[in-house]
Amino acid sequence: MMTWVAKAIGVLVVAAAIAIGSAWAVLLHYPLQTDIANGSWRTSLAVGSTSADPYTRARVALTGLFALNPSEAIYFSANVDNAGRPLRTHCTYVIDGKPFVAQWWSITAYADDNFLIPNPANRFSFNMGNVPTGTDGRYRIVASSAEQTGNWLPTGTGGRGLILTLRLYNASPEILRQLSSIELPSIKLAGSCP
Amino acid sequence: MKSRVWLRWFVVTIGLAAVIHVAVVWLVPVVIMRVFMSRVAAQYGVNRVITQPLPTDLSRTVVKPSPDLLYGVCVFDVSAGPVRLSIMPPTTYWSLSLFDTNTDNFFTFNANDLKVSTADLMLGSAGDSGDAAARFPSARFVVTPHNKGVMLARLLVLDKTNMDEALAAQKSIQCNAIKRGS
Repeated sequence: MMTWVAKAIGVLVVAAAIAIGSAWAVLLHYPLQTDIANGSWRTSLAVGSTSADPYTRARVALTGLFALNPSEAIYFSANVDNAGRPLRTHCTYVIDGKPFVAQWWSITAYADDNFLIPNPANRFSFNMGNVPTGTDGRYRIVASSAEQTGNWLPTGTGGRGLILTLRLYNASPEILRQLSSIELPSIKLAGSCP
Repeated sequence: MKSRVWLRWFVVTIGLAAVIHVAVVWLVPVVIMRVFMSRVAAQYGVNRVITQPLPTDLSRTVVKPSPDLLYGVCVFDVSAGPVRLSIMPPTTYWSLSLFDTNTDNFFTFNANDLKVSTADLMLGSAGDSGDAAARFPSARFVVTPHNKGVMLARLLVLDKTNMDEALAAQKSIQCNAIKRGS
């Protein structure tokens, strides 16, 4: 009798470990079926939607609580650079892009705990109102831990994962139709990254 | 014989893991929303607006806050009657968005929906809509999927020049319970 109970408890513990581990991996580390990829960036039209699937709802709760549905805002997220290498806070990246047709847009840096990164400049993002564009109409932002001249997006000290979020509020219908093909900012590693 | 017993335990373990996996995925948003709502309700009460300054690295209540937005939060409860939401909108981006207890954003109101200078919404159950329409004809009635949920106001601060306007709009946000038939 005792052996049977011990086995049942063992099964329950192993099953719970498999269940929680697999849920954690799927929700935080793997693309969902509804994800739309565009270069380094990913988004989903299911985010915030009343027809969202349970996996999308769980991911929203863990990584972007109170996300708006796509008719109001589109959220692109990147945790890899152009070459597919994981973004790290101690590396330097050049973010190069052109403005979007939207009521407003912004690019924000988060640490891998999904919170803003402490930095001496108290700068956490650039938006359409404060990022200057060059004569070619493009903006260039340098994301790095070391202070830069120009558009510096600080990534803090300490080596950990970096997440960039691109928000597009009230994006144009063209953007909504071409989420997988519109030009999004490139994220290029500058120099080497140990 | 022994291998069949092991196979049976293996199948039971995988089956149980699948059931727990689905339960975890389903419960995560519900639990996170309930924890958020009960903490806010315990600290500030329901049907009350809470405002914060622009998010910084010290803002750790909700993941991925936008540092370009001033927020106003209200945990609403329409079980005792409708809840009236309003804001004096600024000239830059703003929205009032409503969230169900499973994270769904079931309604959003922004400048594109605005017909008068004040955004005026009435939240409630379907049974309250007639009475609310008679008493508050200018307010737009929104039926909530459940009695409780969260209203989140977003006010854009593009740069320091529109900070005062955004702060004034943030201060103007109202989230008030209305007694039935009063």
